[in-house]
Amino acid sequence: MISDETYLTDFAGHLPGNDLPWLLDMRADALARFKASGLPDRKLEAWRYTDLKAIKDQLFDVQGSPDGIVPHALLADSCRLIFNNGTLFEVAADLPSGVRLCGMTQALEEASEFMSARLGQLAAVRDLPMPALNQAMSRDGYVLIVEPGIESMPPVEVLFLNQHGASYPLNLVVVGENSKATIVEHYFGPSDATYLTNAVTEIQVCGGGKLQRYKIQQEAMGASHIATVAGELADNSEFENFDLNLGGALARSEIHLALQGQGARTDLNGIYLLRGTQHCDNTINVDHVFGATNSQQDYRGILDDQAHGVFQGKITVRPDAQRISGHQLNKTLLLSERAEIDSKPELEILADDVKCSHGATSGELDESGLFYLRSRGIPEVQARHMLMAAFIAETLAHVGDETLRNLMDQLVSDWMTA
Amino acid sequence: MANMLEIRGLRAAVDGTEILKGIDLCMRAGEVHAIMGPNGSGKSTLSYVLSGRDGYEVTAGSITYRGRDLQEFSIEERAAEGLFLGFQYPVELPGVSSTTFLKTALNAIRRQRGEEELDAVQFMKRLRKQTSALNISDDMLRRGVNEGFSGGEKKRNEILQMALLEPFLSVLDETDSGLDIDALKVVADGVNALRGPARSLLVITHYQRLLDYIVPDFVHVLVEGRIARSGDKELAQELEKKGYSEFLGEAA
Repeated sequence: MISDETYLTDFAGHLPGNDLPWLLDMRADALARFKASGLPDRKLEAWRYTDLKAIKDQLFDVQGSPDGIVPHALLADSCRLIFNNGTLFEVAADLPSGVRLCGMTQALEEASEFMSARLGQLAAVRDLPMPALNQAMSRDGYVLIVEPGIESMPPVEVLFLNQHGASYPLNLVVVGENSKATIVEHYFGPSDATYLTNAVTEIQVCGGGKLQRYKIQQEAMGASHIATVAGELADNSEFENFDLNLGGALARSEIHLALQGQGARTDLNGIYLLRGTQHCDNTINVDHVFGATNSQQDYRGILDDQAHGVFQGKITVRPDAQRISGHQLNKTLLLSERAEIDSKPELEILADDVKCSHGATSGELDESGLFYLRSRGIPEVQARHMLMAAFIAETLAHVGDETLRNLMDQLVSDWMTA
Repeated sequence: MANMLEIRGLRAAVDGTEILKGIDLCMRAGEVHAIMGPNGSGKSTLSYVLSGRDGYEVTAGSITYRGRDLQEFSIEERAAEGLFLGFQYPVELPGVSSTTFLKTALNAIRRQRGEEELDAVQFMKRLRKQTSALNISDDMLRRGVNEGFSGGEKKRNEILQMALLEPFLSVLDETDSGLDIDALKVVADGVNALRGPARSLLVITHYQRLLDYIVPDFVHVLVEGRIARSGDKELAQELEKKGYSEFLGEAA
């Protein structure tokens, strides 16, 4: 653990925005909060199934100098930001006026006041240690600010290439009233690398706005990936999120959303495909603060070998939040007897006019289905792939953007045939 | 005529319990055989043994299909060799599109036979030829395999697969179960359209009704894992009148 003195003199003093008192205060406060709680351990209910011991010695190993690997983008026509080990490395953006897309350093220089009002303000994650550590350590991240009334813009693709040490991307997305935006966050690293990503994406969608966020997590197989999304949705806004989890030895993806305004809706879906000894945890917290809001979650995974999946999904309905609907589904296919899924649904309903449901299933590939396909001449391996693809097809169908849906479909079949 | 299927002294077990206790059956190309019998006599077990399903263990005897030992083939190889099983209870496969499934199956079989795979246009042409005769709607083809299909739709879908895959030997397991008389006729017409000198049918049924429409050359009565009697189509009518009680008595 670094001491307060060395943090301020040796580390924080070199971070972007070190001339901004509010930011220095925010960072010092975040570090103090992290120090007070320490790295979460399994005694905490929220961390019962995921052990962070493995990343303990990586936390303060921040090196960050880009060494020039140019990754290729997933989308042809996107606005693109590339981060190397947590530091902005390349920007390729041709955006309509009214859209700001840049790195944190530039945003702090050009819009300090705006940033001070928004950054680190979301209550849901204030008490969580991993986002606190991110706030204290982050040297960069992407900032997307869409002014009101921008209905069409190219998708934003953000590539996070990580190679060694720890990186702490801190991202901020603000979608103005009645605007629409699409973001792809793509995390990856060289196949033999071991490193830690601890990312935070803060999201505000204003009234009538719509945000689609797709995360493709293809971290190196020896890497750890921790990511927290914290968002607030205003009246009649929409937030669609899809997490495709493929990489990493240890992954935890948290989403904390507050449906703050009437008519706000969110569609949260994900797929986790794990083998070897991979561990992937999806933890979701949806808070229906206001009435007439609705949320939907559909997470499905396929686990092989000794892989371990975790799904924790909580839906909270506040006392005055009437006429809401909140649905949650988690299904896991276990291809091996040693694979394991811990699925923990949680409903806390304090209003009476609500429609809520949750369901969790896990099981093996259906033998009778496999026999049926093989009896029609389809070779066993191909038949297994067809059944696996069918298992996650419904979840994949939630991806609203067609290009992204096809891309993810391809990544899923690549995984199956790998 | 050459032998399509020759079963000699076949014994088979499921979970260590012997179900088939010595079956002898010989079918020549072009013939239609019916196997009748009470519930639990081993009819479905025989169909699964022929198709190679896991868990159906042959403990003695031999099965020769078109001159070769059937047990040397995997499930999918048997299909490629022209063996088809029409299921009593076809499984529903939500998420597997019907059309994709049919095309994948046909091309998998063609590949194994060393034939050129069909492209989408060629495949659709073949599919269209069959769907109207079997009254298969576009909606059924758009859905997942058998997903939400009625009993009759499921059975028609089985016959569609049979027609596309053009097997030499079709084993139809209780194809009549759950069908009303109109649906039964559609299915029987579909099956009869595929009859020919090079193709054989093994029709497994509990009731004589189906055999009014798919007229067999031979009828065998399967009771407690053995063929208790064989005869011509008259035997089926006799069974319809008298039931299986006399055979159950004999076996006991």
